[in-house]
Amino acid sequence: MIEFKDVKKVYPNGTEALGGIDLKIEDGEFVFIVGVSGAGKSTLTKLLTREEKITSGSLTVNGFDLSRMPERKVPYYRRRIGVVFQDFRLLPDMTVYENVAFAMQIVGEPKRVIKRRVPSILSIVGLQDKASCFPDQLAGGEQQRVALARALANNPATIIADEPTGNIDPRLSLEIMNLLIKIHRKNKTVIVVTHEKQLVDYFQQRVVTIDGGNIVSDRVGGMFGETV
Amino acid sequence: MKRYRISYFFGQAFKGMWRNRMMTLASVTVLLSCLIVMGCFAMLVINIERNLDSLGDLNEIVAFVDSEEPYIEGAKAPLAPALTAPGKTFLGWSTDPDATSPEFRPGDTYSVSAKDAVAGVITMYAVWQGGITHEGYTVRYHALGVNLEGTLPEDSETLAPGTSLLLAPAVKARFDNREFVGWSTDPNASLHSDGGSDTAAETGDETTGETSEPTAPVGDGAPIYAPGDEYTVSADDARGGVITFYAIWEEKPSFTSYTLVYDTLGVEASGSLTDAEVRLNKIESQLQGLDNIAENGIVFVSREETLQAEKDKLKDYPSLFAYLEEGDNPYPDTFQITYKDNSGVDALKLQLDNIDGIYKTRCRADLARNIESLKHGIILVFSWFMAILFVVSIFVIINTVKLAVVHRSKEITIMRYVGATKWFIAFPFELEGIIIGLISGVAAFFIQWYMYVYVQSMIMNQIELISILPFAALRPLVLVGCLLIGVLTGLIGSMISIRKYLKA
Repeated sequence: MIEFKDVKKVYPNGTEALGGIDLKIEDGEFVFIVGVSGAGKSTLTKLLTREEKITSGSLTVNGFDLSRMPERKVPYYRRRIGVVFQDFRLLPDMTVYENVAFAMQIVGEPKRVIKRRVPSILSIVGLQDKASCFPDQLAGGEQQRVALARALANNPATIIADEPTGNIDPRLSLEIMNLLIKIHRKNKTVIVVTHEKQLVDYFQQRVVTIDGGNIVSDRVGGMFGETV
Repeated sequence: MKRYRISYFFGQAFKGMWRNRMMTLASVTVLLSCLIVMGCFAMLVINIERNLDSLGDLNEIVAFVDSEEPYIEGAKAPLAPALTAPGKTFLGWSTDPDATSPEFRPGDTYSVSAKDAVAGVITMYAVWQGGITHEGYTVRYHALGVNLEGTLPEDSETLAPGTSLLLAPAVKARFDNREFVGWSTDPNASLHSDGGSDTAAETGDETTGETSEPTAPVGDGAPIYAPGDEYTVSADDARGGVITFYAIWEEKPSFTSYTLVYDTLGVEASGSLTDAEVRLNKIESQLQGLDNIAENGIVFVSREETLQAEKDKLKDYPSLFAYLEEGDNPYPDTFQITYKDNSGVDALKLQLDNIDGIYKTRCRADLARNIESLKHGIILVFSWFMAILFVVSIFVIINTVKLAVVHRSKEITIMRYVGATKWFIAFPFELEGIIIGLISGVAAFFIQWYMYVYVQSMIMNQIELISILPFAALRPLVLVGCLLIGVLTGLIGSMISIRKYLKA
């Protein structure tokens, strides 16, 4: 469960990015977070990944109290969430297999566990045939699927996707979104931050709209265009 | 799992070093140089310390004596001890060769007085029981302290009273234009200033009712004979069986310092008969009376022995002594004194300085103290050097590791997102710093080993005075020091360079 309680975020330069957000996302939910550029979407994402600390209020993610989490516990929190970025963030000198395995290595998974799990994760995202390719040999959509596989590697309860389709061919966006839905069906909480209204409308899921640092609407269904 | 991680960390570290191999090489070189400088300083200080200890243990003090320094008016001169001569009994000393009772007892102190001196020389005559009978008189010439061109006329044979002889011709002063006036038996004789002429001119003031007619100009008190004049031997002119004709100069040389000589009046006697010997003996007896002296702790080293020893020591450099003329000796007489207790060395020094004739002391403890302060200076410089070099090394390593960090900054960001702990991210870089430090440390150790042995053999061959520890004694210290400082520098440098990238 993810719970924002009157969360405010003011950057050191004085910009108020979030002005008191109250939001509750239950386990296993699929939520779109939408809004125009500068509305506060990426700040929200950064708070969820604990790149930024909240200024006031409280934020709890899967039992971790992010407002009071000491620095040294952050890595262990991040292992419980999987993050997908707009720009994929793959390691260019590692193969697809190695990129996924890398996430498992750094948390100290034994080699045999890695050997067994990586192919199964790659088969979820449909890249089992491309395991030995390097990222630059793949198309944008495929790269994002690798990133998704990596996010899933440590079996997190929550997947946070920050503009996952922003950098890929619109025809392939649907493919990625379908994958996220597929992951959601495996009983994971999925949060997708996006501004692509067609996708949001298409999937008819819970939509949280942010504008000017505040939640302006929170409803199930599409109508992304009509509310903002 | 563990083994896998170790190979991962080392793999990452070596990969990083290889990628920036030029920088790695540079930082190894800089750190290596720093370690070598540090090591050299440390070994220097240790060796100074060692030499200090052995210097301080010598308990030796050297007293420099000047036994030939002339006396000034009123100075206290020790007189020679009693003489022994077969068939003669020594009574004492007198400034009068014809004295029958001694003015001074042997070993007395004589207060130097100008009136006893002739041309800066005070003669102490031995007084013998019964006196000395003279069968005749010797005529002797005396330059009155003026350096002559050529030599003085020789002594005459022993002459009976009443014998006539012709006086020696005129002598000439060597360095100045002092005018020779004539010969006189009185060293204080002088011309009347109103005589007006250097040539023989009767002044008519005849003080001696002698048989001989002095044809020379007559001064106050005693007649002055012209060179070549005839002189008839008279017992009244004799002192101690010798009739001395002093060269009378128009302008008399003056003396403010005096030397002391002994005259046995022709008796063959044994005992110290030079003033220098007497003075040295006096000093030695004073030294014997001091407290803090070890058994057989006083050794006299004469200036001749010192000169010879120095010549032997520096025999490869004969030019150093080439300027010395025969008989010249730049070295003083010394007493080498070994004392018992190191804590009393200052008191002993003070006592030595108060002994007449000792003008300087040199103490091993002083030398040790000087080196000690030198050592403090070296340690101070060393500490600063070390601090600066340490900082320089750290900066170079920061840069080297930072290159690796920047190269992998993307990877580091990704690692952070997927939940890698700080130490997992940092360790390969720290390992890189440590490996650089280790390589530098090991290399520095072996280079220093070589250098030390080289310098040691060089110094051992050239300077015997200095003792140098064998390298084996320093080996553990140098090895541990190099490795420790190297690793520490590498670790600190890499920790500083990675710190910025570790923020969650």
